[in-house]
Amino acid sequence: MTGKYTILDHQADARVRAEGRDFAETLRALCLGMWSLMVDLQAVPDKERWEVAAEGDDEEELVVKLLNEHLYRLAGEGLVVRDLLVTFPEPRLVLTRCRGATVEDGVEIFREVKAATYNDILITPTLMEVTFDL
Amino acid sequence: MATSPPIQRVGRCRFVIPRDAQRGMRVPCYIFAGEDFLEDIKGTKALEQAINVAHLPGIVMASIAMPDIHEGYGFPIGGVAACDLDEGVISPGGVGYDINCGVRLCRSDLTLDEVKPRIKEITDAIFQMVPSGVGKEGKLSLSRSETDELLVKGARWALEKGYGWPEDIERCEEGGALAGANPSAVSRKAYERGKGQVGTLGSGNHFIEVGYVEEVYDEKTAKAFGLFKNQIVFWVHSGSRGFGHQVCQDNLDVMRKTTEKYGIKLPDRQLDCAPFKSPEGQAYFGAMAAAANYAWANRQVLLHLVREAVSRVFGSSAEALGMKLVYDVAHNIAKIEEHEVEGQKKKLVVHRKGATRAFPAGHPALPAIYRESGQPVLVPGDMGRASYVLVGTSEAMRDSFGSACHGAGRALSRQQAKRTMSAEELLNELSSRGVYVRSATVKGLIEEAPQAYKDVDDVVEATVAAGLARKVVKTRPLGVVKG
Repeated sequence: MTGKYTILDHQADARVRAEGRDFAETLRALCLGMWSLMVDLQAVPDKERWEVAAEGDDEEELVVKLLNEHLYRLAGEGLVVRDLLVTFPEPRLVLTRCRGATVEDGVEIFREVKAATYNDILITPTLMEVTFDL
Repeated sequence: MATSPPIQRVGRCRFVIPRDAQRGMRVPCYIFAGEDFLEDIKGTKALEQAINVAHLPGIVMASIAMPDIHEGYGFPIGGVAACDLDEGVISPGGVGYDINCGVRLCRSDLTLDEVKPRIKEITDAIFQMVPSGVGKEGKLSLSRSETDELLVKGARWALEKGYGWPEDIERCEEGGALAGANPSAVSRKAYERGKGQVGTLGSGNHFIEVGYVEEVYDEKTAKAFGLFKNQIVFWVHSGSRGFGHQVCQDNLDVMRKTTEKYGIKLPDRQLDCAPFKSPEGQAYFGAMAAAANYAWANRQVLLHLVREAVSRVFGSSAEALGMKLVYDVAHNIAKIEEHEVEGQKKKLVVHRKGATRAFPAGHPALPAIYRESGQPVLVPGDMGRASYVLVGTSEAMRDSFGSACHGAGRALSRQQAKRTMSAEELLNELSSRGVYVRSATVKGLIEEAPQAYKDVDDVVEATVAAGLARKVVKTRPLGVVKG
């Protein structure tokens, strides 16, 4: 899997653009883009394995709920992603298999992301843009 | 927006976008801004959002934009909208993710001469005492039932636990507790995200500032607020932490469905809402009020920690140092308030997103100590320049549902701020201005550089020129703790 993400200028918060060859690859890049707002991905130790899933009635909801579930797992369990794999076990269900570490492993989180939002959201199989409230 | 809407000048720093500017608008937009700033926001997303807000069902009088307006989610930041309780809606986008993000100001009997030589010691003591930064946990570990109690009692909960003085409570907007809080409307996830965060500063633009009163504009009102020239004051800016973020997210998910369910047509999905009296509207209001109370308890504990830190440095009690709370205001909240609309008194749900309540002298909601002077309106600026204490006016009551600006508002994106200077250059520059800064993270600090914000002087001048508030004092920072 490749795909790439770019952090776009946004006056008050942060916007991530992700590009890939298909929905899964683009979504993976988007997730990593969000994590890059908070941590230095390369500096996150590769120590833990966990899964994060989300359901949604449409693609926008599926993506936003997944991103927010990642934020919740960080807040609740301190789980920090280094890399992940995206799969779709069912049409309205997305599952990410994550690897990384916990905050107790000494990962520096340099910025808080409050939430992924629907603001000017753009979701296509090969291009996604999401604004994050910081 | 391809073209800028028609904007009519109706007074000094007052503009109107008429109701017929766009199909679907139910009320006009009132824009309170300086001429130059208005030029800057023409054609921007912020102005488009102010127009979108005018589409909300049940909105009365106007969608209002403050002089510090900038792009938000659904609502602009610096936006005010009041909706009829029976026919109107409530929208999580009108409050934002950091529910009851707000500011409190504490005064003291200390003076500039006494504190300036010891500012590093004081700032370091506060930094060590107050947990700050992303995800930092506080010293309070609460059970579910204790949290439920906090969510209903707000600042009073903290007082009952020994964090504060009885007089603090009456010096908070709403007495530090919004009525109608409903813990059973709060999700398990919100409880989880808020666990351990009472008494923590957080990150981003949250801060504690040690400052001094540089200028007094209105001696009589300053005296009523207990403020005088060269006096040391303490600003605390924080909110409902992860608890509030999750309450907002949970309810945005719900309201993505209710807008369609109730046949509400809106130009922006981020304005998703529900009729105030619907089950979904009531559930959001109950959860939002609980989050607001979490924030008031949080700021109450933070003030206690500041008092402890300063007290240790001077070897004297906070009481002896005169560290009295001046006031505490919310700037992201929805509240039920009574206002006069077209000659009739009406109960309304007033959304203030990045706007401060600014009630005038004589308003019954004010505590006795401020009934004659009017409400202190706290307007923090950036960490290098200034902050202001204003006072509410009857014009604000009439024209903006008793609301004024809330701060400086961002001028540069975070990326732009990082390109402006390095963290080392920023710290040197602040030091040359006589400001000592402690921050949980250097990377986060650069994004909050003074250059990243509009000059609060301009925002305040426009607010005053528009008649929404009067200047009382201006304070300058000496020491800042950033999250």
